[in-house]
Amino acid sequence: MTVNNFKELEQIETSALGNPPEQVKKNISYNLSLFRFIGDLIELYIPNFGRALVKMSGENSAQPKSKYPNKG
Amino acid sequence: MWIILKFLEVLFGKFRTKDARALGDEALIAQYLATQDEHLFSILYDRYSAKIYFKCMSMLKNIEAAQDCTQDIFIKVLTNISRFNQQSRFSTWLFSITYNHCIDLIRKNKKTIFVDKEADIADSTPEVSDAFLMETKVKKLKTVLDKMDDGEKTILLMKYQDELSIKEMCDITNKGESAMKMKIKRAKFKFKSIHDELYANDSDENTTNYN
Repeated sequence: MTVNNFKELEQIETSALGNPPEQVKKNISYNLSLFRFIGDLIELYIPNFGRALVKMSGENSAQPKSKYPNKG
Repeated sequence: MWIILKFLEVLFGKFRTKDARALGDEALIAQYLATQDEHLFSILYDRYSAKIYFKCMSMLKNIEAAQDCTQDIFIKVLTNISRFNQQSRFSTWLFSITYNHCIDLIRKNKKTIFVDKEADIADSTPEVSDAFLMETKVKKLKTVLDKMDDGEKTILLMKYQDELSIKEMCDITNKGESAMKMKIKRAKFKFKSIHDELYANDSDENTTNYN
């Protein structure tokens, strides 16, 4: 098997430096939650907002009102 | 009733985590994409955070910058994970994001990396064997690498530490294949020159190992 001391150096230095502080993981988790929240917000409200806009711009005004709405 | 449900949730959660920890990276990602379970990403984070942190630290040489960089890299991975096409190993993809991010940061700080001096000029640098570099004693390896400039050191780390292919290295650095081969050759030669200069009188290691 070929010796690769680069790998050994990596192992030694990685364990000497240790893991990044717990705060880094917390920040990532916070960001993830924030992205999810914004995503959910967009998913939930954008269609409704679009519909509201359509209604506000006069959704049915293009169609002529029926003269006899109760007929047939 | 609520307490029983909560207990069952925790219990099954523990089993699920235990199972997931045994999964390979690619399977873990597939499962994460299907379920969006944050716990699965946490497993990936635990697997690679120390390595990424070390890489950032060795390139940026600043502990706070390395922590911020590690955080940014994992956020980048999270937001782009659906683009991971499973054609390469996850570790390769992660390392390429890491190197690119660090290189961008170094560039932003106006430091030069991967400078293209005489890139296309055919040179007569002698070829140094891979074995010479890989068999250099760990302590000497660290000393020599620390004396090299960032670009050359990064190239050697990509090749020997992360075992990236020439193509992957080209993608990361935006260089052509022949330019990259030349850079590797030069970096190896530079390594050997520094090594010989520092340890010229040492007898325990090969000092004239050209191919």
